[in-house]
Amino acid sequence: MAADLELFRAINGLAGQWPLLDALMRLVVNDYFVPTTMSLVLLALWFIGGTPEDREAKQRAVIYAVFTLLLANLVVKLCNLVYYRPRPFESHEVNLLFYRPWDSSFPSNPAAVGFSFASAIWLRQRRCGWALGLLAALFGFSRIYCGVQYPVDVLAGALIGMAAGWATHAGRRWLDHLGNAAIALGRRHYLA
Amino acid sequence: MLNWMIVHLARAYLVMVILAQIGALQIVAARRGWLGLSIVNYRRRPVVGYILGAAMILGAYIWFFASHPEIWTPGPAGAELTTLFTVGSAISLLATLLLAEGRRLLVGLLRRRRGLRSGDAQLAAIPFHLKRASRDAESLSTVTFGDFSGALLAPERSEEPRPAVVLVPGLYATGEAVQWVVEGLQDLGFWVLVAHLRRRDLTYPEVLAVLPTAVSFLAGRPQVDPQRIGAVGFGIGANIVLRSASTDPRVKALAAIGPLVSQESVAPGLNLLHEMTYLQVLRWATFRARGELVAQLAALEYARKLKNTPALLIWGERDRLVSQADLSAVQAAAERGIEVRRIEGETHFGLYRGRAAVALTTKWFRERLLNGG
Repeated sequence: MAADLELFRAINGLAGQWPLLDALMRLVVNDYFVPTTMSLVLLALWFIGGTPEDREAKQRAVIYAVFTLLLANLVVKLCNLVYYRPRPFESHEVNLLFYRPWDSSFPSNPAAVGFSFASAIWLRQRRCGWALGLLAALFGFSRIYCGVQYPVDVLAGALIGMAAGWATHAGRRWLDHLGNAAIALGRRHYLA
Repeated sequence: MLNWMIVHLARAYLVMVILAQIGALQIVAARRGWLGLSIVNYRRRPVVGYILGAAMILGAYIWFFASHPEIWTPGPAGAELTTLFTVGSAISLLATLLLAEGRRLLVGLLRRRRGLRSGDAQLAAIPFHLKRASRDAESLSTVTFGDFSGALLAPERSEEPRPAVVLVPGLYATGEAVQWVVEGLQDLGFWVLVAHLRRRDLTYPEVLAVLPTAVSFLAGRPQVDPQRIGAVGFGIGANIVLRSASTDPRVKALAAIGPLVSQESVAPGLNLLHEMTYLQVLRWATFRARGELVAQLAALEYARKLKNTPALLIWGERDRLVSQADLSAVQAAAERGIEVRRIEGETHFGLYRGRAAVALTTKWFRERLLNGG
């Protein structure tokens, strides 16, 4: 935990030195920017396929991203029920660039959300997955930079997100029924 | 239970999401040519769609993030944001589809003001449509042949006997091309019989009688040369022509404009939004038997059986109602003597509204039936 705190201080210590970087981190760290951008990417992905086969593959990736997000959220909620870790600003002096969240610091829900989207897409659409992964990493970094989470919290959230992505991929035999139903419903309404 | 915390922030987020999503859909529509999602027609200049879409996303983001400092205070949480995003998705999709429909209606209105018919004229309108084509009222008459009816148009030069062409339009989206084909053939001195097929006529195998009875009707007229009768079809009408002509040696030349060669390519799906707006798709889809009829007519299979009848098959390069696999099959068929022409940059319904298919068709009949080809 000492290393965790040390790394936190190294990253959070950057806050307040470069106003432009602070502004960027404040834009990324809020609850709206990254989740909304990622959801926009998913919406575009649904419609962007050039051929029917390509379109179906991308739409399947979008459906798996939604399943992955639900699973990751569930795991984070369960973790929160059994373990509470105070936020960094509750026990240390930090450069706080964000409001004071009151839920458990561990694991990082934003990191779990970002990496669940990214991993689910990466498993099926590599280029788009890398781009989303970069955005998720930036989201996680901004949480530390702005003083609301420790590096281990973000790492745990990222692992939960990626594990959820892998789990939905491994369980695709069962989930495919739901995916097929969703795509068939979309097709019947000329939207898939 | 959902807790919105700051209601005006939730409302602003919803507006931002709707605008950004419409922007994202415009980029996608421009990239892939989805007519049903385009609030401006991006076919010729996709870059307009990219700029418009990017501007909408950026504008929505700048407005929301720069003018709402509450985003750095506790506000709507994950469940609320997910709900807002989902509601926003439904609204933005609906708004995009309606805006695309509005664009189509506006373009149709402008075309009508310029004296052109809109591209999706229903078949029922054809007699009126053809009045425009006929040079005078006497050159157009309504006729019946077997269980079918149609419009018979006399040629410009009526010294006898003249060649004739049976025209079988599709059920939907007849467009200006029908008028132009008729005009072109009339100018060349052809009799033209336009079959008036209603939805109830399009049942299998009854529909197979359309072309043979039309040919018999024309061949029985002293003004028509029975050795120079051709046939042209649009869309499903092209399927009918291909199938019937393969077993009727009286048809001496045929042209099929945008035949629908496989059941899968006309099945419900997003593909149709490439060709039509959403409301057009819903109307198009009300003819539920189309896919089955395409399979029953097996146009391509029968086209391969054409022995001595020269055939011209015309597709649009960007026709999404014909798959690449279908086109490969057509190319293979072409080696057996069928001429296949793909019109660059043209969509399926674009064939019905453009001059390119018309020019190819009239030239084809002139060379095959007029010049003794």
